[in-house]
Amino acid sequence: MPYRPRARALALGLLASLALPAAPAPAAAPRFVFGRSPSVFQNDPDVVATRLGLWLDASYVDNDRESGSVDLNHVNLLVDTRWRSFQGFLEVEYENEVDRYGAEEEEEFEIEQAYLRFGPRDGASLRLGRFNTPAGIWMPVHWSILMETIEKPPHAARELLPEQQVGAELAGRLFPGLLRELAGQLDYAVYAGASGDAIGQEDVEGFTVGADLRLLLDERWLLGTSVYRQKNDEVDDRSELNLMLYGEAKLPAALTFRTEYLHQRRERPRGKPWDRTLDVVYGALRWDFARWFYANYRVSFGGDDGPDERTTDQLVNTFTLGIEPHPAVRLKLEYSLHEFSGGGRQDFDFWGTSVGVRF
Amino acid sequence: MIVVGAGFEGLEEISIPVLRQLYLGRRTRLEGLRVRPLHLPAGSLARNAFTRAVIGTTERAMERYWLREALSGGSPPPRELAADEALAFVARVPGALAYVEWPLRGREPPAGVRVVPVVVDGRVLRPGEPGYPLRLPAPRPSS
Repeated sequence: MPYRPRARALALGLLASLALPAAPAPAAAPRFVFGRSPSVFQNDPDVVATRLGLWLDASYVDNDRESGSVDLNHVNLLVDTRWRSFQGFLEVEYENEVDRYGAEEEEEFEIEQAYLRFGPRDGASLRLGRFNTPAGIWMPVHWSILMETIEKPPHAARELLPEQQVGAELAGRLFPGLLRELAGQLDYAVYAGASGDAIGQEDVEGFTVGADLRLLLDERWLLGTSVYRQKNDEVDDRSELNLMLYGEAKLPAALTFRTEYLHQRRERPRGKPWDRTLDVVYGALRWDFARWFYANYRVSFGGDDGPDERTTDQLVNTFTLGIEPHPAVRLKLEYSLHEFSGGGRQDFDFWGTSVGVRF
Repeated sequence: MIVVGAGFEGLEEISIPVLRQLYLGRRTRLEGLRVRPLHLPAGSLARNAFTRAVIGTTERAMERYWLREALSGGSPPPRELAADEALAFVARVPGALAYVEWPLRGREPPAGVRVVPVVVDGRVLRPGEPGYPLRLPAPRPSS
């Protein structure tokens, strides 16, 4: 007798559970994974995956104007986090570079990139924060461990365009079926940036705007164009309009040809009667002649129509031997000859060796 | 041969250029679905043949390519699984796409896994048909 109320309660409970819809199971908490390998991103997209990366390079460089030196040039730490269509990317860099074009030594520790990206589809993604300027070939992927040479091409060495933007970018990738069996890929980027000392953009004033469009055919032919406008707060407070044309071709016999051309128009600064233009161009031929080895030859030329010593006409011939004994190690041996005309700068030779390691 | 599973019911054929874009991480979606391409283990005959036919470059060039992708926040390389694991993955995970040797040693593909023909020069080709581009190299005659 004392158990009847319990039995009835139990029966009523069972009946009620059949009548009412089952409560939804609590959502599983996202899992978090960390690692150094990009394979962390091969998990379920609902997993919050973070990859840590580190690379560094050091060099011995010498020229006929000053004595040689051994330097640790770059130490870069990368943190890349992804969850579904979202990505957070952070790159912190220690940089110690000698500016052979202006003889200024740069040693600094800075946040190279820090951005959030939302990419729900291949055709459109939005990026906010600090990111490499999407102009040309060299600028977006300018890490020395990736580049064939120790010295940068002229437009990068002279910092004619800022390496980074702080702002917003809309970018995407389209796949037009241009020709049968010829894979076409059209990449676009439109961006705007801000200026100011607080965000590390002290060399520009006001807003910057730019766009980049490139066509890649069959992974062998690349053709692109970039436009970029800024107000240069460092030099004459002038407005600059830049146009780039660039291309790359994978040729037979393990040859790759690359070229970038920059035309910069410097508008009339307030109170001064002149307009000036600058043109720099380079062509480079890389030959992967053996499994671990490549040879690279680059010729670059450029200057402007004024007497500014920073932008005197300069012809540079650069010869590089690259050795890659391991995917994570790159050695470079390089010689270049710099010849000036129209200004007060003297010609000089440069030679150096560099080693880069990725962890 | 190319195999796909759930989500690709509308995919009737696939071309070598599209396969290349998927396996280089340049294209991440197909038929509105996030694609998860799978590689066979490095060094296997089938993978070497697939890389040669579809990617068309050397392993060292691919190592450089994936390093650049890693440093620039780009796509990760495809996941590596052995053939049986790849087929089970394709059967289970929407958007998965893999290549395996054909025939499957007398077996049929698991339930939910479908073979997709490859388009070459406008012709739709199935494994074993003349001109099918994904082939293992012919064995060398013994001396």
